[in-house]
Amino acid sequence: MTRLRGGGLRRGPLPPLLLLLWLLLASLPLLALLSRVEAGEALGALGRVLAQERTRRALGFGLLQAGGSALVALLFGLPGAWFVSHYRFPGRRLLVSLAALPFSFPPVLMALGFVIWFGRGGLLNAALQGIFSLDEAPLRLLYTTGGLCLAQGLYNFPLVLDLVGGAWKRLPARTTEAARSLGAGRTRAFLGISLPALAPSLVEATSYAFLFSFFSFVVVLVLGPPGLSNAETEIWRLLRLEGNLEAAAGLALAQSATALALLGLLSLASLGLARNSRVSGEGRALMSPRGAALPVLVGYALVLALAFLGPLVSVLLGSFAGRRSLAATALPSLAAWGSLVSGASLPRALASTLLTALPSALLATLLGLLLGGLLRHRRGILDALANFPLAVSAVVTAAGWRLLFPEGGIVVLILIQALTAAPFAIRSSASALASLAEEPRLAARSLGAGPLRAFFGVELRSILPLTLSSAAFAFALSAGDATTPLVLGIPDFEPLPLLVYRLIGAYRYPEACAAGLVLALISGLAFVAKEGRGGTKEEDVRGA
Amino acid sequence: MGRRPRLFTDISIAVSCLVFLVATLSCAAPPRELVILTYDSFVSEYGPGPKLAELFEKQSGIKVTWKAKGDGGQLLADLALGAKDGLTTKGADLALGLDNFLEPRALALDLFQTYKPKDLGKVPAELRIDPSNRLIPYDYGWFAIIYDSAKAKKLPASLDELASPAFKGQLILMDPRSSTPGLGFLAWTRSVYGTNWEDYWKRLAPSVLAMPAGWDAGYGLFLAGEAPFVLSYTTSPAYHKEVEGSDRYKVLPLPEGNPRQVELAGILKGGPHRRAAELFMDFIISPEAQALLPTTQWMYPVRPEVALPAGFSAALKPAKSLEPSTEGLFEAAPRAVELVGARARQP
Repeated sequence: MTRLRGGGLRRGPLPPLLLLLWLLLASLPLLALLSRVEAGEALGALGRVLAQERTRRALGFGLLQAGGSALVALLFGLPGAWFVSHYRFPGRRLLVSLAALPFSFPPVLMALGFVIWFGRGGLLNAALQGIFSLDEAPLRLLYTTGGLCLAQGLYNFPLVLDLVGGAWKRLPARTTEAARSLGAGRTRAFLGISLPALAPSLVEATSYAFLFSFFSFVVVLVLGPPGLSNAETEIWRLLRLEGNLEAAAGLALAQSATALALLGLLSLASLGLARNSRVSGEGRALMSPRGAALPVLVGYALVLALAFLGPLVSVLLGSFAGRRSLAATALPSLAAWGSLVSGASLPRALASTLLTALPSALLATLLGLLLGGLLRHRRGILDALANFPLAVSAVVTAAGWRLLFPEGGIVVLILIQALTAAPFAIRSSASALASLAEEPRLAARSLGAGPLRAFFGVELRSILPLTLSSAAFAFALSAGDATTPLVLGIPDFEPLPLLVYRLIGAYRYPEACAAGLVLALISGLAFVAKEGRGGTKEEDVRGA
Repeated sequence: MGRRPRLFTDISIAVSCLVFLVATLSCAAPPRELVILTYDSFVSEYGPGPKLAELFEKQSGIKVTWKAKGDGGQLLADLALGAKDGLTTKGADLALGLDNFLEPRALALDLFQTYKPKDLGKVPAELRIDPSNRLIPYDYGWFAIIYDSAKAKKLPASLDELASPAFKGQLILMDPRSSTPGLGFLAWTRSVYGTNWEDYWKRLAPSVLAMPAGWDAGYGLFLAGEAPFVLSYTTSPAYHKEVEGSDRYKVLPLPEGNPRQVELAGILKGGPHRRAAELFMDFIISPEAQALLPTTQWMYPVRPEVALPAGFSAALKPAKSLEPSTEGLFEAAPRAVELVGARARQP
């Protein structure tokens, strides 16, 4: 009987070996880049690069805008977290499901929406000028660091709302009430009890928002202030415009080191905090908003509509604008759609996207199941495996693989995207499988089924809805990826995100919106399908 | 037991048919074609690319495939990369869209084949800037600062005044590393300010609203009303006059003069369709092709006998035509960008 217990493979040396292999795989592109540096004085050359002001400025700006974006995400997300965890109100479900947005609405579309909505010639300024009879556009957000942080912060706030709001909701009201009944003031109760309990989710949300913005690529390309770049865009320019492999490699090393250091710090903080908090029980019941809460809620909803929904709606409706300057459009028109379809660029882009996103989603899900199954009880290894790729830049990954397999083309693209999406799939499968009882599998084994048969026939079936969820997520991630195909530069291959990016660069905004709408639909479709199956939560997918 | 082999056979037949089909399709290459690398606006639907390709195919039966991935500087970077990795520009025959500012670096990369087109003698000598005939001119123009007369409250009287606080955040430039107008502007300032050019750029930095990678994006932002001044060509107002009947966009007269740009094309070494490329080079400076350029490219054709449209009267042939030096220009581009970044506008 002991032979069948607890999966020998899972306990042995295999998991640490897998971790090592995985880390190697994730670092391989960076190593490839470094290996191309002139062997003669590699170290000296890298040292020079790191000491250059240009490198320091890129890293500095990267950290600055990432910090600013995280701050904005918190600013928008925390009030929302408060509301969804304490009150019941119409639109609450919608607000919570917005959390899926950062992963299903590609960043390039956020950049596009931002330009159309917040630009000096944009919709918001046009509206404000009309309402208040101004002759100068009041908002000058575009191409400033603040504007960039606003765009990236808005993109990530749903994540803060979901993670912190979820944790807050699970916090039972009893504990704070007990403290209050013993004489503690409201603030004291909050600081002493609620905040420590929320800290892990706060740290997690902030670190995701920070890392996303630190490695942000297309958004910085489109919205960045003139002459400034973060490490990611600087590496790309060094590679593509200046052919300077040496400087790019040095900067990539510095960038990953910085990100790893940050991840390390955050993991430590989160571990320390988690140990001190015990969040258990069904949490609190939701009330209807009353008193001062109601106008604040309405105010918050208004701000969200202006800042967040505005850009989104701009993209969705922008494709029906006839003229180039969207603010001056009178009638809806299908001209943009017409030119994209007749030029065949849109159908071809859609086909290209499906051609690569579907296989990569499949591959990522399979990897998730296999590795998740093997690592389900090895939480430490799992976290390291899932978090490490977050410290390697997408530009470096694509550039490195391109050096290793120059003729790889679409196959390399699929592999890269699968490896990028895999950590999320691994996490969610692992947590789903870990929560399964051993008995059914053991029963199957005792009846003569081999280990694989038992796994596929029994365990997989129970977690099928969740597996489909994470497959949809992987698909959205791959379909929306603009960075990897851009850096790989596969000839005659232009998936939807690249088409949108090219059209933005050519200042053909209505057409960019049309392509963007198609992209948003196919990414979002997967999520709608997932929600329709009975609402598996985002937290399950992320394995939080 | 009997069913499995049959299914297997069916599947293998289907797969073999598919493989065969794909193989035949990919082998059936078009008989006479030409691949030309160029920049984005050349192949936009309003640009000269499609019309030139149509005319060329009618005359010679050769089909042109245009490939564009950005502005002129990006084109050169791709060519340089292709020379190193043998992959990025594989299969390309011709590069069109480099200019006199990129010429030294382009020639230094040794990518082009010498070829003297048929009518080259008819092109004025001052435009034939490559004596080795590896890069052939096909059109020219002058860079200028264009302003929106409906939005510009005050006009600077000189390049120097453009750098004053009165014009904060009002100018759209292009990245000199990836865009030919951007690089041309850098050359312009270097020729006006000499060794003090870095100081000028430091002073100019707050005036720069945006510095996108290509001319398309920059000019588009200008038309959208993001800023009242943009780096473009003296012929830009001619476009608006001819196509939109609008006098709104005008050339900013500057006492420092305007830098001349000559656009160049060259046959790439190792391209697969050498003869077709040579025919295209003859074609691009032929009167028929040159006649298409003014109203699609909005630049001056190199053949002097080609008639210009009426709208070109709005274009300022500059009082002073500059031919700035290209010495150390390419290396100065990252420095210029750095200077703008150091003083970028903060909210």
